[in-house]
Amino acid sequence: MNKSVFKILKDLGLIRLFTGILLLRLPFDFLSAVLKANILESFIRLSEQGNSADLLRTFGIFLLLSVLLFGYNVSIWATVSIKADMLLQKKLREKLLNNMLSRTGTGMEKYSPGDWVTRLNNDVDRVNDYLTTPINFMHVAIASFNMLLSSVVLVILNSRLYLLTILVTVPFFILSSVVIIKKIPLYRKKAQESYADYTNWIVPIIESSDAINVFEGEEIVLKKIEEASKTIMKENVKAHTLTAWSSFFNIISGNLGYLLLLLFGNSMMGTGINDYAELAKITQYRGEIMKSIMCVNAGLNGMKGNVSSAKRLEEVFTEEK
Amino acid sequence: MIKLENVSFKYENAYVFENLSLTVKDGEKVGIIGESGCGKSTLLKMIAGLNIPTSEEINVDGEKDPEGIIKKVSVVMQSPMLLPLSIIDNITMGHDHDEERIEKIIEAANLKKWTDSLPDGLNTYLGDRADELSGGQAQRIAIARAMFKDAGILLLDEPTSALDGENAASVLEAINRFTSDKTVIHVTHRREHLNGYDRIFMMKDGKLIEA
Repeated sequence: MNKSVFKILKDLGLIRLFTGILLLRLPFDFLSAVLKANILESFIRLSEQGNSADLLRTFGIFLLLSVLLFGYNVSIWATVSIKADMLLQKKLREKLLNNMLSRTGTGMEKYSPGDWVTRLNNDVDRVNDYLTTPINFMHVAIASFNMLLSSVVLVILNSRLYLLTILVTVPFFILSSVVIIKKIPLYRKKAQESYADYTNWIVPIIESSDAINVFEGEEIVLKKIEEASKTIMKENVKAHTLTAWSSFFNIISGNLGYLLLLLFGNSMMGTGINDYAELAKITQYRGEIMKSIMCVNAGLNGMKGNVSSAKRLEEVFTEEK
Repeated sequence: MIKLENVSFKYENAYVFENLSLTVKDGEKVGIIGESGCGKSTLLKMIAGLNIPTSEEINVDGEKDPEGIIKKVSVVMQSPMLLPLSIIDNITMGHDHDEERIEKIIEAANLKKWTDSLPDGLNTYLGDRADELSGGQAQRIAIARAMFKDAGILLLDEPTSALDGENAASVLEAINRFTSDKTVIHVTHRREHLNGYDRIFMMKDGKLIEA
């Protein structure tokens, strides 16, 4: 977790709550992976044996376990997470408003009215997104946990296949999830600043609409607003482009992994494997690693996009009023 | 010429004024006094084409359509209504201008000494807090804007109400300097600001009474 977000959570007294939710959600992806891998193995094995009575019983057991697992996950999301989400937004807005209200005139003047509005609305929303919405921090943590444990299982089941998977994915992961997305927070920060400029025009437009009408100032006002909105778009496009490149290398990594598996993997996969059912189980764990890497990459992109807002809020909380 | 005949204006189901008539000849200077909330500003905005009358119509220099009326008037309101632009853009509102004319306007609006002292002069960005200029400076920019438009009719809505004595005098001096050949309607609650005006009306209970 980014240290600005951690500090905000700590100051709001929500560390324990979010750690609790995270711990409750953490095993979901891995448990789901174990379930899927074993479903595959059991079904294929039982089908090969022509054991239809056990096949039906196994189907029932896996169905029940799947329903329980997904029910558990949905309950956590729907109840605890939503409550935590609301509590975070409430506390964060309160803290920011208290900070604003306790400021001197000079303290308030450090930021333009549009900047305050942006921090109070958009930045608070983005910190909330970072912590609670899908494809952000929570998913990165859950996917990382899955990736770690699936890796352990794959190492035990077939270390050569694991090595081949890692050799392909690690360089691409570093490229797509570390190098390429590095500048996203900077572009998002600039976009937020332009958003503040854009918001700054709302009050003058309302208050000075008569002057704009009488002195035919519509053109210059629209031009200035367009300039601000263009900067927002420009910075967001830069961030989106990096996300697209990051995603591109991630996909390349996945496809290249498959190609290598097809070209060189046959002998590796066959080593120490008894039957097709076991092979399916092993490739399922490999798939889980790949899926988790993609999820971590997408989540890191989301987090990078939102982290600048946490820094903007921390800036307000830590400076002299 | 400005002509209002039996004009009414309703706000939230209540009449601010009803069947009001007023004729102002070209070049005439008319003052309207009255207590706060009596409807003076509403009337002025209606003459400017910014408020649409509930019944009957207004005729300003032969123009009856509000969009056409707006083109024929300049206004200086109680609040200077500045925008987060440079001083020059606030005066010209982005319209083309020649330097010589701007110089004359700056001089006439008593802005020259102040703008010359600024590092960026007229290109100084007023920022997001244009309201933090002194009231006098902001109002003189609003007057310069009215001068730049150079409309034949000037509508003034308490342009000095938020200013201290010295600043108010300076702003009034700037206004008088450029309105000698213009039609002026000046709304105020301070009668002493209307010295030299051709006619002065008192607005009370939605009626205009010549004082």
